[in-house]
Amino acid sequence: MISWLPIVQMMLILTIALMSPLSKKARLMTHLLAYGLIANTIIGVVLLTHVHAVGPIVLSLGGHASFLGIEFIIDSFSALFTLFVSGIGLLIHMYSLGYLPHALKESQIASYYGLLALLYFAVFGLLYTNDLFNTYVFIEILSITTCAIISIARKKRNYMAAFRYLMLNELGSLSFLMGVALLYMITGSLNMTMIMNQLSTQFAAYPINVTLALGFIGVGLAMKSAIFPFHEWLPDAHSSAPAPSSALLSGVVVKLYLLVIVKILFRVFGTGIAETLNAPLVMMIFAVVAMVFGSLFALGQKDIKRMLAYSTVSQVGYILLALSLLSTAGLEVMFFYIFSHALIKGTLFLVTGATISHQKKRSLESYKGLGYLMPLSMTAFALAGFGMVGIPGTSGFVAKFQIATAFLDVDQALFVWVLIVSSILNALYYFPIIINGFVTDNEGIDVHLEKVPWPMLVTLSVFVLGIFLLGVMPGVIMPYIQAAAEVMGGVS
Amino acid sequence: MNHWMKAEKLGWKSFTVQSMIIMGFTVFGLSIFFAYVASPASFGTFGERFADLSYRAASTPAVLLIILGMPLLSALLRIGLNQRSLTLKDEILLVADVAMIVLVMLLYPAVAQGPLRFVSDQGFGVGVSVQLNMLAYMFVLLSVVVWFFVMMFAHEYMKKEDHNRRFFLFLSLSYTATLGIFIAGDLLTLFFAYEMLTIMTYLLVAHHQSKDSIEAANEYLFMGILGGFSIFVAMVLIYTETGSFMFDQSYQLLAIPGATPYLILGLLIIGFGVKAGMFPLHVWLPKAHPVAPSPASSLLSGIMIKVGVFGLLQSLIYFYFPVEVWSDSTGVLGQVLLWIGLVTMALGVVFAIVQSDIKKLLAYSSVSQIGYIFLGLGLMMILQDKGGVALSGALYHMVNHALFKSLLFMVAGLIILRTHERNMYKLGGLARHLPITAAISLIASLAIAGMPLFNGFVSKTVLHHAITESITYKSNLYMVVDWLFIAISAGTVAYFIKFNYFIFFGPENAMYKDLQVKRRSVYLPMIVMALGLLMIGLFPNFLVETFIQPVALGLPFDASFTVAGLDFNYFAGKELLLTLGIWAGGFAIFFGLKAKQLLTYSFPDWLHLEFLLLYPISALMHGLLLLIDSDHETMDKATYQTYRMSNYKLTFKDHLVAFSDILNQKYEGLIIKSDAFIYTLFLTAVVIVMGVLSFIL
Repeated sequence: MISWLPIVQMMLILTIALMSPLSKKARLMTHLLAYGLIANTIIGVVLLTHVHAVGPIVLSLGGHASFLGIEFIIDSFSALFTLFVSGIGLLIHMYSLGYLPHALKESQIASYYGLLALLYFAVFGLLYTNDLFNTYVFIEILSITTCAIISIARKKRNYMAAFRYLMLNELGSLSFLMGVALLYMITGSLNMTMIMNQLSTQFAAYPINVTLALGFIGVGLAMKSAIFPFHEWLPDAHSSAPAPSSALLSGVVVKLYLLVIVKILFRVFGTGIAETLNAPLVMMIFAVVAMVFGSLFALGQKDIKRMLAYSTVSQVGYILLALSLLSTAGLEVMFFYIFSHALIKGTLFLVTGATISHQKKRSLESYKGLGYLMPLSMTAFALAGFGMVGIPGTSGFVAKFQIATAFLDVDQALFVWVLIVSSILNALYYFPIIINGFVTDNEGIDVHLEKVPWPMLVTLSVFVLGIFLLGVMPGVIMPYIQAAAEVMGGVS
Repeated sequence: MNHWMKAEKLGWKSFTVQSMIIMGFTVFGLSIFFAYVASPASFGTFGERFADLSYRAASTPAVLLIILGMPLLSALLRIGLNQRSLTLKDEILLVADVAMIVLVMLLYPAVAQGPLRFVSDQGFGVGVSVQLNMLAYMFVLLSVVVWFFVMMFAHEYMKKEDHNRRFFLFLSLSYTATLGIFIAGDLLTLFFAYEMLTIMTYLLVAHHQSKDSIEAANEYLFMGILGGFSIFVAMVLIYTETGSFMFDQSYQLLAIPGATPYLILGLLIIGFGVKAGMFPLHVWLPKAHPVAPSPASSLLSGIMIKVGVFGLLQSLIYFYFPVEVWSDSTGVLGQVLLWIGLVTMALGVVFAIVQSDIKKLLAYSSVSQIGYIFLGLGLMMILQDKGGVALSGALYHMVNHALFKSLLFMVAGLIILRTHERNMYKLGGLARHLPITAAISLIASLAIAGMPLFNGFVSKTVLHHAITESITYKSNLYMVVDWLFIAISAGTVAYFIKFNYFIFFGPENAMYKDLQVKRRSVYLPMIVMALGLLMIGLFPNFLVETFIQPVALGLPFDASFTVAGLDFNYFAGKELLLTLGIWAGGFAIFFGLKAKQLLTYSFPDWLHLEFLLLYPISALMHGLLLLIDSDHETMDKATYQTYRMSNYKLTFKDHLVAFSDILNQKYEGLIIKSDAFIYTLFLTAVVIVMGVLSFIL
């Protein structure tokens, strides 16, 4: 019974998505998606506790054997991250209740929620599936829905951003598909487990094909997860989407592609082949460049959302750096970083959403004195900014600390210095905003609490509380993260 | 002005009376407490009952948590209290502080028995802990007492300032952070408090929100963050080496082969040195301390820079002290600290002498005095097992400096409150109008300049003795240190002559003829503190025997080389003769410089440290930009205009921002035109790295 819950989860959200062309009523869709997400979160909790207690569930769709049919694997890894996505999604949905009526037209809201439901569908599928071609399909669904969400506001800049997004991401998808085709050529299979079994013997026979496959898949996914030289679509896309979806895209969706990379490296090629092919070295180089240049470019931005987007580029570098260890310890660090960053960046994007919709302010200049106009939101911004810099007490500190210790454990002190440089750059662009917001002349400014709808404020406080909870007691989620890392990378 | 008058009407008189009562109570309590500390036995059953109560209070971390939470609680109460009466509001702070003093006093017998330590496994994932040993206790007591005096002073002073609520809120948060650093039981907790202090003090420095103060505060913040990251790296290194952050003496980092322990110490020195105002990281201090409101400067200079020294001392004690036998490497570390200390001392003096701003002079003086303390720490490491005397000197000087420097900043604050003038050359002859202030200022100056019978003399004598010991037991080369010490002390005398001469005794400025003395309640804390300085100077052994000696004996020092072990005579003929020489030298320097008109000498721009350190990087960025953007087509006009401004007038951060902006625009322009090309390029590169490297090599 429990083993069919993932299917329930996906069908539920797909049905909601399919309702949107039928109904143009924003109210109905809002309710539907809210209930869908609540149900999914509950199912997620059930699944996570189940796989923790009993062990992974393997679902063969349609009852076909695994070489033919599609397999879903629900283990500590995928259960944890689906729960994470639905949880964050639920919170962001609450924020949207207050935000969207100001930002979009009613018909747009209905289709926005429909697209969002489709996006969740793709995300769940991406996490569950154990089939490479199926992964490609879900990646495509994800790309196209994201593209539609970016252009939902129907302004010129949105169309430009969406177009650029589409072009670069299609390049990435095709590259991924090419890699999958190469693998199919060698192994005659699309099931990840079976490919891995085949590859361990076939690698010696077809080294060039395997190398090319990994190259195509890796670069394709790198484009989708905005790893530094391929990040060009991200600042435009994330800064022109509506605030709740920016938070979702920056906080969750970008990381999903990184999780796909994790799956590819650990479940398709295996760490052995990846290490022979110098994948860690390649990832480290990309990560270091991303960490430094992402932050450096963020420093020069004048638009707050673009700045946050560039900051995401640099944070993706951190996550990739943790992954480049290719070990269970590295995965633990990486997963924690994903959680921490989702909370922090989510908060930051949600605050900017509030400032843009309620004060019509999006340039960094205009943040001057904003602390007097929107004290609560700006406090949330300040605290999340501290998290970004890595002030102890926030989850950002724990995450950076873990990365630093993980790298010192393998005697690679260089990366600690890169981490520090990037963090200092972070401080250089987050602190001035906070300072400008709070420490300026408040003459002529009427100081009062902001009149932001309460669902937005509640969401912000939950996010901020989360940042501090993870920062002070990371032990709360560490067991789950460890289990997820172990199921991927083996017991350390 | 209007604001001020309103506050006046709301009853300063009642505050004077009530603050006298509170002060009387506190002073009485403190005297009884010190009497108890001096000889617990003479208190009989009362003493026993007090000790018993203390053990019970110390059995749980509750008291420590209350002490940590009290400042925040009182500040929130003060904000929540919807009363117009400032008196009542500020009295909440005072009463809370008195309660803290009482609680801290209550803990004494328990701490004297042995350190208190509370560990929680949860927290940051690796556990947090607090500990209260004699060393920490000394500084906690010092902080609560000084804070109490400053709070009383602040009541009067802050009437003329805006944003009172914010000021007191962040002052109390800094208070919590400071105490947190003192009682941290491991490096991680200490780091947490350190970062909290950096951020909370920001708003104290930026209080006036003028361009100057925000710039100073930004510099303070960024240097603090930089120091924080330095400690972060040190912390991570320590964690990977030892698997824990705990302050317990079982980790001897010096036992690790290779350069790692020195790297760690270097990072710690940088991290804590930033907070302490050590050369060359002191650049923020002379900017930040003067722009803060005087009560805040008082605490910043009095207590908060000690936090840096304390953190360094703590790390030295727990990570670099041996359990039994000293190794030779400590001597090397000691040399480094010693010379840092000497340079800091000298630099502080040289810059203090040429200042015209009274608060700036005091700030540079703080830099210089921190140098004395670093010197003491250096000598401690050099003398190794005979270093007890150096440690005592350093600790004693920390306590003394906290007292007289906060008092001096109060004096400066009072003068600014009365005259609204910070340039000492425009003041003069104020002694006639403000006799009490002048007397207090003289006492504090005599103390800091090292006049016998005042407290500064005591600690400087102990430090000087440590130098003599290093000459006797280590090497004759330390004579150089001795001479420098004497010369710098003479310089200290000179700039305090300057301070008092131009403010109180020089030619009278007609503008301040009608200066009236109002609101005497400000004098109350100042007089009590001045008396405290005298008391320490007259009974120099009290602090040594009760607080400092136990600390020194708890460490691997030879007991016969501590202050008590040496049966120290502060007023020996030799020391007094030396002091006479120093004072003569001080007068000579002052009048010499005055005759040559060098007192207002300003150093050339290129000599500024920021310029020396950051100019090369700025120039590099400038060059790079000209290289990639020679036709400056991507730069918009405004950016280019800012950019063309003379290189060192632009702050380093603006420079960096402009640089990254242009780089980004250039890069984006490039990549949009050629995304498919970049994809191919990187794919090929990746495949080559993966394939060629692994198959061919």
